[in-house]
Amino acid sequence: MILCLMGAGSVTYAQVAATNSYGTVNTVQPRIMVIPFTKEGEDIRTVLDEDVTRRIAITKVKEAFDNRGFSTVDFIGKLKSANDNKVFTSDNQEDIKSLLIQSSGADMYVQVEVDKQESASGNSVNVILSAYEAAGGNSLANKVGSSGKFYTEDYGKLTTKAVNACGSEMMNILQSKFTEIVNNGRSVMVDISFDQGASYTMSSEIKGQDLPLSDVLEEWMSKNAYKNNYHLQGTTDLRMIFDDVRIPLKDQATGRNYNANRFALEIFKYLKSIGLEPQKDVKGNTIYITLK
Amino acid sequence: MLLCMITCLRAQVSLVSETKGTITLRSSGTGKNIDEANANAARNVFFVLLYRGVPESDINSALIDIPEQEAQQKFKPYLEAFFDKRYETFITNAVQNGDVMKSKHRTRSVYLDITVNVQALRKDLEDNKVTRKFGF
Repeated sequence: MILCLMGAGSVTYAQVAATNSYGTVNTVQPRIMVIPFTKEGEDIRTVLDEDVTRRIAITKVKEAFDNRGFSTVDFIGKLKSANDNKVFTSDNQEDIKSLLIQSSGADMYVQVEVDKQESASGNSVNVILSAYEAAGGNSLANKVGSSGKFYTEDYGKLTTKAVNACGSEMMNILQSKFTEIVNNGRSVMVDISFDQGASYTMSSEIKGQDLPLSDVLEEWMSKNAYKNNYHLQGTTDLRMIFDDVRIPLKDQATGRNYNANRFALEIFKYLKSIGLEPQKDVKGNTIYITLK
Repeated sequence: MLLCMITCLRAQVSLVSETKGTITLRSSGTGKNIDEANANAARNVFFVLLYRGVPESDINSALIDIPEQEAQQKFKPYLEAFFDKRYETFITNAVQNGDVMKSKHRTRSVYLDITVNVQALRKDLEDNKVTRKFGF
């Protein structure tokens, strides 16, 4: 009976023999998608159909990743999947881009802009590469590549030259950012709000803590963000947003992969322990906590 | 032996050209004889690639992304073997640039244009866990 009681508070899961790696852990890699930049009036869903130089630019950037042994998330495939699943509910381009990135599961994306320049002294192409984290929108790397001027109308070749001029360095910058993430943690966003009709606000004092809820939350985040690294975007009576909270890539206790969902669970368990009724939702690296 | 090798090296290395996967660097080397001078010129190239980077090139930051002293402690067996003889396996071409110079100390100095297979070098560093593969 004592043994049963001791086991009552924890749940254990048996290891399936077919997937047993005997303790070997491979670090989960970031999912990166290369997407086209779209100007006012252009539709990200169709822009590649209409412009071969953009297709070449995107393919060359993906090639730069391939040359470093890294596979990217396919934009066309994810676009098709999003269309099939009727993900897009409006024609607003910013919404479409956000929904596409969210539905793709990408942690990061590289936006590729192609700028053709025609002149009497020759034609050239400039390519602007911008890499961002999907959650929080932090900028990771930015490079501009130029083809140089040539008397040619083969913009495909000029685009290739422009990407070749900056592709390797873009990869080097990204790798240094990855090193920073390995050392200092991955960024997640934590958005805490209240359900309609909730009996608490951020000013409510929490029993046993003698502090307003917002301070209790910040205190917890201060202790549990990896290396105490977090940024509070702002607090109102009804909402608190930590727009950059660092969590480790690996569980510091077990050495296993760690992710936003696991961190969300820790927040959830803590909030329950102080008598609140939380609900959690995780979209990529953004954690939404709703308190009832 | 590794510490002696590293302290003998001087970073007189400059970029000549680069293509996809290779880089050609001009390096000077000094030694008791021409063979030693050539070897030191080649070692200079790899010292710069591993610990310094070459400005205005695709390898503009060091291939080994931890401090030099820490790397030499942590990867001592690999680096000793590398700077002993293994570095030669990553050289695809080496051309003498100019004449051999003789000094009053009876040493020989030479400038070499050395082409390095950077793709293979990067893969070797990753396979031996000296550097991380691209990503986390």
